[in-house]
Formats: sequence, C-alpha cells, structure tokens
Amino acid sequence: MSIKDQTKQLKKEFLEQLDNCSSLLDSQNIKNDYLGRRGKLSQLYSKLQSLPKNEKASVGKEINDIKIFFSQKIESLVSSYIEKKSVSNKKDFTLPGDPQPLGSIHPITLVSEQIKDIFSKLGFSLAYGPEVDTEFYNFDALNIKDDHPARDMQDTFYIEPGVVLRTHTSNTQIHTMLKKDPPIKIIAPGRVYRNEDISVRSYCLFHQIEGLYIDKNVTFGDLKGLLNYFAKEFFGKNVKTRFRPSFFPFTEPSAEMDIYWGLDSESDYRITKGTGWLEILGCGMVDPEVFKSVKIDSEKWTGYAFGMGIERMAMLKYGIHDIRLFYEGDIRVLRQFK
Amino acid sequence: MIISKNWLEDHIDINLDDSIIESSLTALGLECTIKKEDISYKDVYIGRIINVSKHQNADKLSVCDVDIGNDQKLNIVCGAPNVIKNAKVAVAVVGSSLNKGNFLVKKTKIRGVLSEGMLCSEKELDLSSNHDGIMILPEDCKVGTKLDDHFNTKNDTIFELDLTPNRGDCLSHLGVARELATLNNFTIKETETSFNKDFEYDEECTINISNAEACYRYSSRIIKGIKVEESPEWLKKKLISIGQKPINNIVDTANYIMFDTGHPLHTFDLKKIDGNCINVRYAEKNEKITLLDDKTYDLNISNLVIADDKKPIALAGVMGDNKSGISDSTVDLLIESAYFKPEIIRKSAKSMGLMTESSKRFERDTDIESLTRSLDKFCQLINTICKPKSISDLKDLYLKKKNNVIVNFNIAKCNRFLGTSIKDKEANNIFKKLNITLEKNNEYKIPSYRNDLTRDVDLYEEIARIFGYDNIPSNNTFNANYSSFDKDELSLIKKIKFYLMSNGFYEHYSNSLVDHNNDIIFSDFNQVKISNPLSNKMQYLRSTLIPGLINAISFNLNRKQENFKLFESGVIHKYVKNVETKSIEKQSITLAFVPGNFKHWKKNCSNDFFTVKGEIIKFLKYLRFDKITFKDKKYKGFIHSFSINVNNVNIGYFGEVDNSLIKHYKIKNKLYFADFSYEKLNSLQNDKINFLVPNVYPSISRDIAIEVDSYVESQSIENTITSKGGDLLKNVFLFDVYQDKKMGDSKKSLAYKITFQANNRTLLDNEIDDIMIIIMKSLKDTYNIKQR
Repeated sequence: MSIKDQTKQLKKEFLEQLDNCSSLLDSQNIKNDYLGRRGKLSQLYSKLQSLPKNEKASVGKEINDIKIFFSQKIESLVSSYIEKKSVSNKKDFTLPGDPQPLGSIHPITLVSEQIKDIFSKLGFSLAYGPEVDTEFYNFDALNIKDDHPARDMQDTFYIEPGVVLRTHTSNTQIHTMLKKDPPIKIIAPGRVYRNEDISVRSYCLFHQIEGLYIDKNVTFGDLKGLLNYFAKEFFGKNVKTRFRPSFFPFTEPSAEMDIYWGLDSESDYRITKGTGWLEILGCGMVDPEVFKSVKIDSEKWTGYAFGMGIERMAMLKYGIHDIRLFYEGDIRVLRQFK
Repeated sequence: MIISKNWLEDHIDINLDDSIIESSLTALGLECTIKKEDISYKDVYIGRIINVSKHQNADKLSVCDVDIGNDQKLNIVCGAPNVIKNAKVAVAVVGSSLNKGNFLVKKTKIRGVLSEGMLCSEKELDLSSNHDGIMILPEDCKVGTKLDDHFNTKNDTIFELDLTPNRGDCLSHLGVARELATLNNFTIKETETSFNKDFEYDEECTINISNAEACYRYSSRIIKGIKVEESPEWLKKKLISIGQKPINNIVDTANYIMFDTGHPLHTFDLKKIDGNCINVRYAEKNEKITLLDDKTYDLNISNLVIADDKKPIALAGVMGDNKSGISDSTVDLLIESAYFKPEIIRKSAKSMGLMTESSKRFERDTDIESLTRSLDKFCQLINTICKPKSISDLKDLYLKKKNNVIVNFNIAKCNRFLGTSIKDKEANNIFKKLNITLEKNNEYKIPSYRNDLTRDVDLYEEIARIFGYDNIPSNNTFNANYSSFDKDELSLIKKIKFYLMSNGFYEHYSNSLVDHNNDIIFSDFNQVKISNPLSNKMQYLRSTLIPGLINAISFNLNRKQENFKLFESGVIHKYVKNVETKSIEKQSITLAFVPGNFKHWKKNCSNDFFTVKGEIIKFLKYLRFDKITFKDKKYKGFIHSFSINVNNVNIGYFGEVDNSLIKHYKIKNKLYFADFSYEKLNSLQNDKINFLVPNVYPSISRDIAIEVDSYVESQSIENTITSKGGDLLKNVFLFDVYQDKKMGDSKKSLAYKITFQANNRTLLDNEIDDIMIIIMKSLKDTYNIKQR
C-alpha cells in the first residue's frame, strides 16, 4: 500500500474512532495513538525517508495536512469533554467559597481606638498608669481629701489601708506630671474599678480615657474648642454641644459636656431624663492644688483635663443597654463588632 | 434635692416658664430636671360623710353614706375608728388606684354589705405612715375635687436637682432662689422675724461647748407650753410636695426650716434633758446611744455628741436619740441651731453608716452667720402654728469665729485663664449678683453661705458660671509642642488585636476580679487580695487571663457555639510584698482555641493541636519573629505544654488544658491556650528588615522517605538533615507522615522534600547527590532509619 493510501486509511480509521469515543480518557488515548511520539502518524513520517526525493515533498505535505486535521479534531473533542466536566463541577459560581473565619474586635477596643485616633491627631501622646495604686495618686494628689464628701462619689476597693484599685484614670495625670516637665499633652486610657453592685447600668469595673494638657496660657476656651472638635469627630459634624458647670476636686472651673441627643423615642426620654441632653464627659481647668502636689508652678503653667467612660460611649454609639454584655464574651454579641 | 416652684416663690417672684427654670439652673451648674408627678394614688376624690351607721354584722365596721359631688352618693364600708358624720375625707372610688397602680379599687361586699369604694388613711395614700384612722381633710376643701388638685400638685412644678458636693448652700429653697436671682435680677424677699421674749433662758438650762474646734457656735431657745399635734394643712402640703412625710407640727416646722433655709435644726423635749444642761462634747469611751432609728450604736471618741448631765442625747448634726425628742406629751422644748465642723460630722455619720438630711448639710458646710435667723424663723412659725405660752431669749454661744473670706481677684488674669475678654464692670456686676463685695483694691469678700469660694480660681468659675459657659468662645486652633510627644509603649497591642481579628479570633474582655480557686489552677503567682470585695467570688485580682477566657468559652459552649477562637489582652496582677502597692502589673495576651470539626463541600476539616501550633507560628511571623522554637515544658493546668521561644528568649507558652482540673465547667471539648508576655513581645520587636535580592539560580529538590522508630521526634530528624545539609540546603519540608499495617505501631514513615540552592551558580546534580549521601548516612547512624 502506498503511503498515500495509508494516510487515507488512517484518516478513515481515525474518524471511526472519534465516532466511537465516549469519554475524556478515550479521547486522550486516541490522541496518543495517532499524534503521540510513537503514534501512527510518527510511523508514517519515518516511512518518508524511503521515498524518492521528488515524491517526498508532496507526500510530506499530505502527512502534515492530516496531522493538522487530526490535531484540530482531537483537541476540540478533548476540550468538549473537559468542558462537560466543568459544567458539572466548576461552573456553578453560586457554590459557597472556602470558609475563612473572621473574628471581631471588642466594642470597647473599637471605641477607645477611635477616641485615641481623634486625640492623637491633635498631638496627644499615650500614657498609662497602674490599676492598683496608692491613695496619694488616686485621691490626695488630685485634691480629693479624705474628709471631703467627694470621696463618697466613688466607692473604692481597697487592697490594704492606703492602697486602692484606682477609681478613675486620673491617677495617670499625677504619675505623668511627676515624671515629666511641662509641656505635657497626654491621653490615658485604662481600666478603673468601683465597688458597686453589678446591674444593667453598673459594673464593678469599666474603662475610661483621660486627657491632660499643660502648657503656657492654656485656657478654658481651648478646652471647649478641643472637646467641640472631639464631639464632631465622634458623633458627627452636626452634633450640638453644651457645657455646664460641675464639680471635680481636681479641676476648677469644672464642666460637663452634654450633646443634644433628641427626644425621638421612649428610650431617649429615659436616658436624657426628658431634657434631650446627654452627659458625655467631665472636664475642667487643672486645679492649683493639683499643681501644688506635683510641684508645678501654677503661675507659670495652666492646663486642662477631661475624662470619659468608654463603655458609656460604646453604649450610646451602638445602642447597647446592658453594660454586663461587655464582659460575658458572648460570641453572638462580639461577632457584630469589626 | 427636690425643689417646689411654689416654695421658691416664697423667696423670689419668678415669672419664668418651667423649662426655662430647668435649663437656667442646669446652666448654673445645678443639674435640673422637671420631676414627673410622683403621687402614688390616682383618681381619689374629696367626699363628705353624710351619714354613719353601724355595720349589721360587724361591731368594728361602719357603713357610711358619702357625698362625692356631682349628685353622686356612695355606700362605703369602713373600719376606721374616726369616721364622723360631716367629716371631709379622701374617697377612693371604684376605678381609683392606690400604691402606684398596684391596688385597684373595686366594688365589693364586706360581710354582706355593699361597699362602693374606700375611705383612705394617709398611709394608704402614701402621704405619711399614719394609719390610725382615715385622713380627715380641712373643712374648707371642696367636695368633688380630686385629691391631687387639692394638694396643689398640679399647680406646682417640682424640680429635681442633682447637686455637686461643693454646693451645700443649694440644699434649700433659699439657696436655689439665690441662684435663680443671679440670672434674672430677681430680688430675694427678706422676712422679718419678731416675737416677744417671755423669760430668761439661763433660768431653764445651761449650755456648755467643750470642744469649740468641732462646734464653733451653738444657739438655742426654749419654747414652753406647746401642744404637739398634726401640722396645719399648708405645712403638710409643702412637705408632701417635696416628698417629705409630715410627722407632727414641731418636727414638721423644724424640717420645713431646714428645706427652706438649708440649716438643720434639732428639737429636744426639755423635760427629758437631765440636769437642765447641755454639753457639746466628744463621746467618751464605751458610751452608747440608741438613735431615732431604734438602733444602738457604740460611740467612739471622735463622735461629737450633744449630752445632758448623764448621757449623750444626740449624735451631733446627725440624729437624736430615741428618748429626748418630741413626743405627743412634749410641752416644753429646746430648739438647737448650731454650727458643726463639716469633717467631724462626716466622720461621725460615716462611722455609723448613717446619712441624714441633717448630716448631708453639715458635712457640706453650713452658713455660720445665718443660723440664728433659721432659729428665729422656726420660733416665729411655731408662734403662729401652735401658740406656745412663752419663748425664751436667744442663747447664742459663738466661741470660734470663722473669718470673712477675702479673695484677691484680677480680671485680666481671669480673662487669660478663661480665654475671654470680660470687662471689669461686667465682672463687678456678676459679683454683685452673687453678693460678693469689693472690699478694697482687687479684694473681694465672699458671703458666709458660700463656703466653696476661697481662691481666685473659684471666682474664675463664678465669673464663667454667670457669664455662661456657653458664651465663652471656643478656641478652634490647636497647639502641640513636640517635646510633649512620647512613644506609645502599648502600640503593638493594636496591631496584634487587628491581626487576631482577621485570623478569626473574637476579642474578649473579662472581669479582672476573680475567684481565687479558678485563678490558681493556671497560675503560680500570689494573688492580690481585695479587703472589701463585692463577693468572695470576686475577691482577687486575676494573675492570668486563662480563667476569664474559660468562663467565656463555657458561656458560648452552653449556647451551642463551637469551633471558635477567643483572645484577650489585658493587665494581670501579681502580689509582691515589698512593693508599695503590693502589686506588679503586666500586660498579657492570651489566645484561646476551642477546635472542632467543620464540613465543607470541598473537604471536611478538623482542627487540632497542630492547627494551634501553626497559628502560633503564623502569629509570631507576623510580629517579624524568625527563630521560633518550642520546648516541652510543664505549665500549671496543662496536660501537654510547650514554652515558646524567640531567639532563645522565652516569650510565652502554649498547650492543652487538663480538663480534669476544670471539671466544674463541665467542658468536654479540648481547649488550647497560648499565653504571651506583652513586655517580651514588645522588647523583641525590631524595625529592621534584611532585604535580599531574589536568587536567580535554579534550585534542586530531592524527596526522601524514611522509616524510623515511632518515638523518634520529627524535629530531631529535621535538625539532623539541616545540620548535615550545609550552606546549600535551603529548606526541609515534611510532606507526609504515615503508618501502615506492615510497619506496625513501632515504626513510622516520614517523607521530606529537601531543597538546595546556591547564591552564585547553578548547582550540579552530582554535588547534591554527595550531600544526600552524607545526610542519609547520618540519619542511618543516628536513628537507624530505613530508606524506602
């Protein structure tokens, strides 16, 4: 049989095989049989050598053409099988993706980071004080004298006489002022303790963030500017604030900042006592007595301080009504905060 | 402090809306809210008893015909002894409610007789504790009106003030009126007191102050021939309006004066004062007193008492004893108006655990100058209310003067402090409103009722207060001096927290007050103990974060959560005796793993010890740590545990909890924890990144599979391969571990991919073959391995 006849024969066989092919595996076997390194077409090529020169070219071209024909046929068959497989398996894009569990950041962290960011932008550095401290740092140096009713404002846990669980982060003010000369510009976040029964509204501990700025010519107007800016950043540009006189032993004048919360719902009435205004933080100008106890000259330096409860801010921000939820570790609560 | 608007009008004429009063007082620093009606009865009417007859089936019951106006008559059965024909009474009709809505009045039959309501006692109306009989109302009140209208609660406004402890002067209607007056230029109405002196005080009683440094001033009068009875209606109404329960005319009058002027008064039955003498002194050792609350208190030598010849009869400024006070049989009385040093009263009240209206005022300091005015106002009222036979002259022992307070004030300095530009004239105008008077150059005299003003900054606050905090300009430029900038020593915590969140950990905050028994399961430290804990379950400060996390794990497992991870970052405490605070505090970061299985359409997965180990390594790599090693080490509370080391420095540990130690949690799951010292993590931080140009030369890998005794640890095999591999060895990767039946339990098979690469040339196959021979020989020699 001439090579030409052989190629015709091969083509016929090939097409029959293709007709009978029923699987991806079959199609790949056919491909190997015909187009593989030791396949039937290779055998034909090897026979070319024995042909006379004038025939070589035309027969060679014929084999080449048939090779291209085979390749195209087989590739489309193979890919039709691969196609089929992906329809059944890979092309359902609605199948769920691989699970990549995401955790959560505690609401207290979220709020405290937000507050830290706002004040950091204005040049406040972070400072920390101990949770267990002496009465000097927690009370005396802050002008909270033993015989003053203000000491009753905060029910205190004692470790032993003279040593307390801090009732506020203000102890950090004293630690910082004793360590460092003015100008001082710090915020001090941390955990504080109150000897109060645990309820929806109060817990035996909570978190505060405290601010202190001491420099030359710091004024009450500066304090207002700072806290107005803070309120806008935290509660939104259109927030309405008011300042009203208050009392803290370590500041004079003392103030409380309220924001206008509104009276849209039953709960608004409850939390604002029907006034629409909500207390956000306490602040004031550092009392000369405090400067005296840390040996800073109050004729030369003035300063302001402010402090707020982080749980309270988080409760307002997220509408959480029960403070105990913060400490239970309930994943159904936690996973909502990112 | 409860304030009645009608009462305020005794002192000033107010023509302001309630909401204006509310916001004005708040703006002055007396945080004020309008109090919602707080009467406990509803729809109770005034009626008149038209007829009284005996109940046919019960001796003690009466049947009354009661006219309640609008031509309505009711038949009411009543058990009170004082039902009299024509008396005006409070009638709860069918549909009325008592006791804050908890008791609804219904039509009933009492012993067979229909009753269409009830006649109320003061106690039933929650007006006083009087339950001796029904409340008889004055003749002039109108039948058919509602009782709350009669008591005027509707025509009054009640304000609730949340006062700061420095403003003791505002614990009275006069004080609040003075504050309102500053705003609106109202004038305070002055009341004159005058009555005839009938006899000499000294003939009846002698007063002695033994401790003038505690009792600066003691003034008193004696009133004879009084009749103790119910207070007149107007007085009862006033007290009821501010939530006080009327008692009798004498006590009510004294209370009225206290709520009116702010100065607490005390009344004694003259006959009960032994030896006709009063001695203000400290208590003696072992003295006792039984106070009005019928409790007996041990006195100590720092308690100031009012004593008679024999014994203490009152704890000064706090409460009288249960015998010497006014009783129904009192005829002659001694009324005291004194000045006690605030600290003394505070200590006394605190040591007894008492807080009374009186002690509250004394410890916030009272007005030493005006206390006789309060005393005389009392006498004036008693004169009109119960027409006593005679009133003595004033006995006023004023042993220790309080100096006038003079404060130096400079408006320029004040403006610099506040950031204002208030004119001198404006400042003086403010001071005038506050009764602060200019003595001479910049020296201002403070009125005696403002004990809180002693320094220039106190006056800055007064200026700011009256000027209006909201009128002080808000400065919107910010200054910062770089010398105030400090590095945040806890900044790494934020980075860690957000990493852990992204990797599936939930952040937990736990209570740092813990149960000792839980804490010591996992901790070697001595715990810091609280001397006045809330409960014995919260008596210690945590010395490890693990139990707090186990509490949270248990909480979540009980709510059907599974396969989760938690973490906490927080302070732990360790008791150290020779430190002033007895405590050393450290920041700790603890990761908790509660592994479980989960199914997914591609594959099912299970988490275990090795998942945890992998997560720890990833976490530490994130913190840029490189040389991470684990060493088998026993940690308290764990079944398997390993120290975690970076550059051979111990930074923490991890392991599997020994569940037999936490049986009380009833947790069946395996629990893994990794605990890190923040201090160590932070100190090993390094900003440096050693940048290397990527290697362009190809690498060569060889796979080996070896059979080795089961007890041989893969780590040591890896170490051997690494040490024999030389500089060209870049990586050893364990890709398979298995056992089959043929090997049995005593052997295991490990398969490694070992990768070689040179930095400066292409490696040759045969040089790697040589290295592999060395490695295999060493493995054979050391572990008796079999190559597969």
